[in-house]
Amino acid sequence: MKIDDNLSLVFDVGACKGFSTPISRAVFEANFKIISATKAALFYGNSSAVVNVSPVIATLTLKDEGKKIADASGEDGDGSADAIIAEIKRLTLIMVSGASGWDMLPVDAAIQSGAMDAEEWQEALSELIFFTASYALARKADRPRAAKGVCAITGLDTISLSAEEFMASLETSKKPETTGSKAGSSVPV
Amino acid sequence: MAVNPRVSQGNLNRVRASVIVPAFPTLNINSSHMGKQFLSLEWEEAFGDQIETGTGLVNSPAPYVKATCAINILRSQLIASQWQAQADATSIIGRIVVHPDSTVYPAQTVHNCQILHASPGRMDGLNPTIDVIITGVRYVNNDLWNMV
Repeated sequence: MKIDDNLSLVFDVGACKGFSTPISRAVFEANFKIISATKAALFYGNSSAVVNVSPVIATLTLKDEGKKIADASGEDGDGSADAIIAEIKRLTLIMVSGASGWDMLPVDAAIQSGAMDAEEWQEALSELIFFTASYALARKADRPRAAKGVCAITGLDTISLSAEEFMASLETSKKPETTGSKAGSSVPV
Repeated sequence: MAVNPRVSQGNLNRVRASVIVPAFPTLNINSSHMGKQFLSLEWEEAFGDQIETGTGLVNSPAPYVKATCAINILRSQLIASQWQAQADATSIIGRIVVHPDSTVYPAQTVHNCQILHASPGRMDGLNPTIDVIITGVRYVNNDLWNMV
């Protein structure tokens, strides 16, 4: 995973652009059981199923595997599935095009603003979980190939820019962001 | 008798408050990672000065004010250690965007930020949070630049 790789993910979601930073090594180590179980479930079966189905059902698979882990240990929980989803959501920024240029919003705020809807986010989330499961467990030498493989079958793309640099690269015909909405009044002289 | 116009007073959503750190997304914070005090954002200085003269006042708008953002981050989650590690590595974090607890109040951007304090606080088993203080610049009176 992040594991000090200078890599982030970008994707289209609704009319917006998404930017997601992979989970940290510490988060992976705290949740390796559910992530590895999810990968095993997603990559079970023939390659056609993996390509066409797995990216779509990754969120459901994560929750399902979390439930199995919780049941196996006699706990009444989700095996940290919701915590991983919350972490991916926290690490994801949505770039929304507005009147004063591109704006950077948290996922919930972007949904609330109407720039994308909840279903579009769920589709993107599923692909991000699919990426997380396949990339996190790859050996360091194999990670670029794993990332390339996932990106080939999803709407994700890898990028080595920061969120600010990525947003700046989007600003082709809009005015740059200001510190806030501009008042109509002028400064007294 | 006057009629009460019953204008809607709106609502607050305390779990909406969040902070984005675009240069370091691993520091992003939403309500699930904050203590009961959540966060606060203050402009520390006046937006301008009014200098007294013999017969009145001269207005002198300031091009910026210092901003302070205080965040109550849960020490019981990994994210507190990420903020501590960030301060240990470099306390300069660039721009932050604070999303408020109201849908009709705009997000506030603070530029050129630095983690001023990240104090672990009491460790008596009753305090789950650390207090992180971020300071930066809020640009105001932007129309000043139209007159240069």
